Amino acid sequence: MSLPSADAFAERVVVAARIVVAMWLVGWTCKCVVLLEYFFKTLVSHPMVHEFFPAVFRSALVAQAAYVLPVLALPVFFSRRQAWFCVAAVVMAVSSALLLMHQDSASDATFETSFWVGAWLVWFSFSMRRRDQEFLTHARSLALCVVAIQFCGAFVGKCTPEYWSGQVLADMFMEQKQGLFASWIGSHFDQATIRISFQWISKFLIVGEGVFALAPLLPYRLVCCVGIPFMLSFALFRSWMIYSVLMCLIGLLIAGWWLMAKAVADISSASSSRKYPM
Amino acid sequence: MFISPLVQSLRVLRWRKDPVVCVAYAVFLAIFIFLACLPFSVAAQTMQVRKFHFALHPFGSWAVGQFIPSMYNFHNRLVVSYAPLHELDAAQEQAPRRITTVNHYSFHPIYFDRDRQRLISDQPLHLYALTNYRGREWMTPCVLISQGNVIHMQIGATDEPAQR
Repeated sequence: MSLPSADAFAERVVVAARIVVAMWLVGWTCKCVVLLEYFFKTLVSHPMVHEFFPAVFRSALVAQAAYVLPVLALPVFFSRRQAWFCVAAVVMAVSSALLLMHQDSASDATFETSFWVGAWLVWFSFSMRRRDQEFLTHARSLALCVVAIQFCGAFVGKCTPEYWSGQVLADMFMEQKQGLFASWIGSHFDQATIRISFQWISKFLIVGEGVFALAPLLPYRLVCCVGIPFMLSFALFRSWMIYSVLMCLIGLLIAGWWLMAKAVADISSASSSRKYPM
Repeated sequence: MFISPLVQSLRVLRWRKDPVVCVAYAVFLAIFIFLACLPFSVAAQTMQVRKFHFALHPFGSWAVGQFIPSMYNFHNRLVVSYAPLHELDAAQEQAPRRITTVNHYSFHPIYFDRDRQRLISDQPLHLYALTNYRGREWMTPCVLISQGNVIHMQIGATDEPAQR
């Protein structure tokens, strides 16, 4: 079996990396209107002081810098140089880590999922010059591991009767009605109906998270075809701002699928060339 | 025959060629083991709850715990009161109490709120982070004291879990 040309391989890897960076940035910035006001106005006008955090992780300036630093990832869309991809990956991982440990942003899951995807990209970008099939195999498996630990963490924390019965999600939905769909539901159905619905929504959510905690053991296409719509459906029950947490994971899955699809195409192309030599 | 992506990767994994991948798998395995123990280990549960309540000392331990995925875990509530809970019975009318169900970290509504002006008060604001998980409840007290526009947050120690 002939290997794909070096150019095709490199192109495949560059596109995959760009997909990850693009979706990561979409998630990072999808609530920028809220976060920019929060970091640049609220933290300055009403600073919170919690001595538990070291001074550097209480500083509004550090939070502001960490939030805008990922702008340094943009050159990857204009240049194919590996250096830019490495810079983007390191910036993404470091910014996420800083905000994950910062007093004023530690409680947002956005930065936790963003960190793990950034960490994956650090490895991927520094290995981009590789031309062996093992590189792509590891890339896909590690991507699934990143997705799996997120959902494993989410799943085990909901292994309680209150979540399984739908009580917790219904309470959150009632108290924090967010999003157009949630508003529509609230105005067209009574509380009793909503609570009964959440009994099943909760079970669907928990079972789904449990299944995707096993992602590295499942077929890649299945994880993508089911997992991506599953994640996109979260906004039905929460606000669209949940995408700040999930977009980077969706991008990671798509990138891995791209790597796999191109690998199959390259193999088919090589096979055809052998059958029908020019 | 179907071979999972993880098994495909492990089959071709060589320490000399991919040490970083080996370390990554070790980290993932450690995290999976910790998370798998969570429903059964009170110590692990208490550690995660203290992480959620910003009460896991020292800061380094808490920081490491931040990287363990815990997306929207536990049944979290935040109690907001103008008087300590143990004084509420005697001062019900002067101490309105609000209980909010919170997704993710219990103190999330306090931090990630663009309208922090509502936290500014002449008197201390008493907060209680309540977390329930598998029949146990943890509570961590917190006091917000305003000095001008600066809000000082003093989080106390998390109580030992109570059976519910």
